[in-house]
Amino acid sequence: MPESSALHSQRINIQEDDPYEILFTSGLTDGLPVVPPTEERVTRMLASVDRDPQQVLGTVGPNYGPATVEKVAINAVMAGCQPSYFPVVVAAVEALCEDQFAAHAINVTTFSATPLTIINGPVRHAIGVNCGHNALGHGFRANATIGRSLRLIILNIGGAKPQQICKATLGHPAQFTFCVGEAEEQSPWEPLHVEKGFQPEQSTVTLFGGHSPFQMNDHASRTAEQLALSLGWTMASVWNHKNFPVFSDTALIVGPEHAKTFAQDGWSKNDLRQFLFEKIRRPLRELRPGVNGGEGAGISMLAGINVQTPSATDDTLYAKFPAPESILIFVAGGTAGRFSAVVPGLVRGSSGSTITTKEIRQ
Amino acid sequence: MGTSLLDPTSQPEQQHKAFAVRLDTLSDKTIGLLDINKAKGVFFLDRLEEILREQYGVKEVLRRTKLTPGRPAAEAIQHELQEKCDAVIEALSD
Repeated sequence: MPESSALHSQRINIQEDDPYEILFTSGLTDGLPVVPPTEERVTRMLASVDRDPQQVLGTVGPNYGPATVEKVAINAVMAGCQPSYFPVVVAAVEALCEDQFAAHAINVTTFSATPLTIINGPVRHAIGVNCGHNALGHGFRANATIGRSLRLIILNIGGAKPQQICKATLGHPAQFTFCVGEAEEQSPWEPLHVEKGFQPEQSTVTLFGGHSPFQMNDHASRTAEQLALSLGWTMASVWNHKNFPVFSDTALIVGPEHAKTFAQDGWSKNDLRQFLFEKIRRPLRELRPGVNGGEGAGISMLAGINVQTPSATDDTLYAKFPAPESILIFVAGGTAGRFSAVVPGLVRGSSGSTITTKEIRQ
Repeated sequence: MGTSLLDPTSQPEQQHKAFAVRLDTLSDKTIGLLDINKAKGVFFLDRLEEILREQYGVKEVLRRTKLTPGRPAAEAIQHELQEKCDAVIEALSD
């Protein structure tokens, strides 16, 4: 290491081999090529934030490796970030390291969880975060590389190597990258970060420990109630159609056309949450283990909820969503197409993951 | 001319820790069973305790349970197991 360098990381010195291949064979990638993290590139990344490179943002489970700003920058380079994205990555790592987010659980579980990163505020336009058509898809560098940075950080700092400590039974494509901006301009509601207590002119990242998104079609409903029932009963299958209540928070990504339908009938986000909580219910007779599947009352005890309470009868109704506030709602996607998406969460509460928002400091 | 890259890992592998000395026998030993607190793990551990006592003649089985599967065990539990046990089995079920 040159004595003049402010960077403390060990060097990987490569003579004649191809750096791309060395990074693969060293187990430092997600299976796709990464940008070789040279000192020059990492220094440029670090220059975009006013932080000591050795500042520890937190530790990343399961190995609880210290996420120094320098290590985060190295991984952001590898993911393909432009330096202007780096403040977002830093804030996302701060959220990832919060104890309440439970990265330890997210990064190792058979459930195949991964952080969904939601970006709010002016930074979306400043760095080109896609919030519109293809919001959850391909083609946009900021979304692709900010989400990928978190995954590389989980791998290289957290130590969650697949098939070793990361035991996701199936995994899913969102474990490569999963980052979206809220389409605040298309939303009839206050944006997610304002709902969380920030000012509209602030920029934030919100992390939701979730699974893969499932797109829900509804081109026919023309009232808020019709649409809420349609989406709600489609959402009712997350985890398992018998898991009433589901053990997790649930993210509902409302497409702009669907958002308009709710707005036309004057529904707030809270109206939608409350409606889903109250209406998406099934009687115990349909939830008992053995009825249309072995799942049911028994495993609900995992969440501290035994649906077979002594006073319950076959007609007792159980809500899919454990509480109105367990439903995270934001708007994203293009202005054509009546689609929304649901993202199931990891177990919620003190035994699981809590949605975490951090301000992005430029 | 070569290339020099920066290591993206937190380098935990450099903190090599030696394995504890393996036990020759379980007889007359104190064995810790750490339940990570997933559903039904207790059934598995109950049976394991039975086997340890009946077939291997362990002196004592110390059972402790993590508060939640998704986070490390409380430090007090970690220290107690370390101090009182000759070996610890961490187990889960679902």
